[in-house]
Amino acid sequence: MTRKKRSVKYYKHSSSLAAWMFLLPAMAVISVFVVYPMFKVLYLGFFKWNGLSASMEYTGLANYTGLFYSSGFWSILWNSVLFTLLTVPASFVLGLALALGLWKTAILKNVLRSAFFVPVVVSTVGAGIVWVWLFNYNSGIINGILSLFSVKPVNWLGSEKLAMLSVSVMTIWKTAGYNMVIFLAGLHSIPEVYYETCLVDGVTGNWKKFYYITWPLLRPASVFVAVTTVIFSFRSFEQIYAMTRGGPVGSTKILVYHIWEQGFRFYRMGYASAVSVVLLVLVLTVTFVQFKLSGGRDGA
Amino acid sequence: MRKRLIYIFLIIASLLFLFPVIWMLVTSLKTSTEAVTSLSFLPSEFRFSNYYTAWISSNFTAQFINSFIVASCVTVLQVVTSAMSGYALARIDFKGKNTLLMVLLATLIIPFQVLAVPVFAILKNIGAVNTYTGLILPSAANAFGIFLFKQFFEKIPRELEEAAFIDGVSRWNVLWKIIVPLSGPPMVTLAIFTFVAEWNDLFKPLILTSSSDMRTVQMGLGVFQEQFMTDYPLLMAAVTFVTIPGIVLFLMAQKRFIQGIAGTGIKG
Repeated sequence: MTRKKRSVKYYKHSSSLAAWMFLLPAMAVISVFVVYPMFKVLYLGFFKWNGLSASMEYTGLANYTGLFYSSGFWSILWNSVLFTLLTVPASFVLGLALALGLWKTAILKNVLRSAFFVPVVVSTVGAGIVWVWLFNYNSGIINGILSLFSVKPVNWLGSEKLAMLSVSVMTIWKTAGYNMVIFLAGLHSIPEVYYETCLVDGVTGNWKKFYYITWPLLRPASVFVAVTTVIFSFRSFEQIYAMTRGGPVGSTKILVYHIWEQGFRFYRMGYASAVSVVLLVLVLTVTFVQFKLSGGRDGA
Repeated sequence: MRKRLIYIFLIIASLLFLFPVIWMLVTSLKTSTEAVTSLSFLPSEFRFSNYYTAWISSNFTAQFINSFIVASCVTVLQVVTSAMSGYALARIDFKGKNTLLMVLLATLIIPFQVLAVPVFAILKNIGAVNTYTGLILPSAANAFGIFLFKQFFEKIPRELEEAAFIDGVSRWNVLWKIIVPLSGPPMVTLAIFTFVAEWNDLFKPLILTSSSDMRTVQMGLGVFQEQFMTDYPLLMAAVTFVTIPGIVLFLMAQKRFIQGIAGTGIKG
């Protein structure tokens, strides 16, 4: 009896310490490699550093004024926004359409769902290389099929005007299946009762049902998809690396590619840090605005 | 009628989605001349030797070993650290818990790419650039896994543990001997997720390694692409064998994989 009492008491008293012991390994890693670097990147933005030498030179705001006055930086920022605008709405709508299509189907459901999901598990570099082949000017299958309709070959990845669109098509293909899975889970969590009551209330027709019931109840899933797809587009790098290397003439150069190129190819770590800070602010602002617009944090 | 139209739409869409993968497989078996001169779907003869040629033309054996070591270690570490933290957050009340949850949620928003320079600087200071440690440590814990376990643990009835506490079993033993054996689903989900993500990653190894000995498969694929720019059958063969581990793992455990993603979207 006394032993019971003591042990219950013991666990109450030591709970804080016990909790932190359990949390220690993960928190150590996250503190050192996520939280601390967030501050360190702010700090490094004020220095000139080549990433190799032990010494750094304090340059104040030079990195920031440098990027503010460079026309190259503004076009890279614009490219990132354009890439987001081209990929996010399309991937959102396609994911939703596929989920709505699969929702009430019984036959082949798992097979079809897997087919749409396969692009998500293919590595982005590998997928990028495959799409380079599909988009190939002389012997790619896309131009091959177009030639059957006597369309002249299109320079998908080699032209400044089309390269961003081509990379976006590949990205939409790669991300839509992920969004579909989130939307499907959202749809399946809507209780059937709502649709039964709407029969009573005289709400008929699929569009009305979608507008009055499905869409509002799907909101947590929609917010999640919107937030994750935007973050995903801002951190994209691999498809650019594999498909265009930022070209032609910088037309597909986006922020993360710029960070990598400046920091790890030209060894301008301070400047790359300043660009990282811009990207960090951008990601935090957009995510914050998305949560606000969607009315709170219910989607998180 | 409407149902049928939906099926037709879905089947056409699924074929379009699979087409790049199918075309990759088909091309990987053609000769390089056939690939660029003919649009025929099937190769006139199946050149399985392309796979062998691609494999030996570059250092894929070493790259597979590197990727396997890194992805396996990251997976094991992430499962262990996530289970421990998830348990503390699900079961123990302590000061600062809500703040901690907010901080963890915030870390999910911040892309690793933004932290590339400082993480490189930190690893350089401890001499871990170009080492397995440098590739493994930054990914050894992740808020995603912690939330996955926390959600799962919250559904396990508390009575199971309380009986053990009364018998004087420590929390540590309760976690590993009672809770973890019941936690197959989140463990498998997180393990597959993490392994595939690490296997497929290019950015992290690209910034944290420079020596060719440390190259992972995705970096190797990038180098291979530069070397065999125009030999599409060889390129497609290389992409195929680099991609296969991820696809096989997904097909083996698709239910878990998909539930894992779905769960984060709705409840996480």
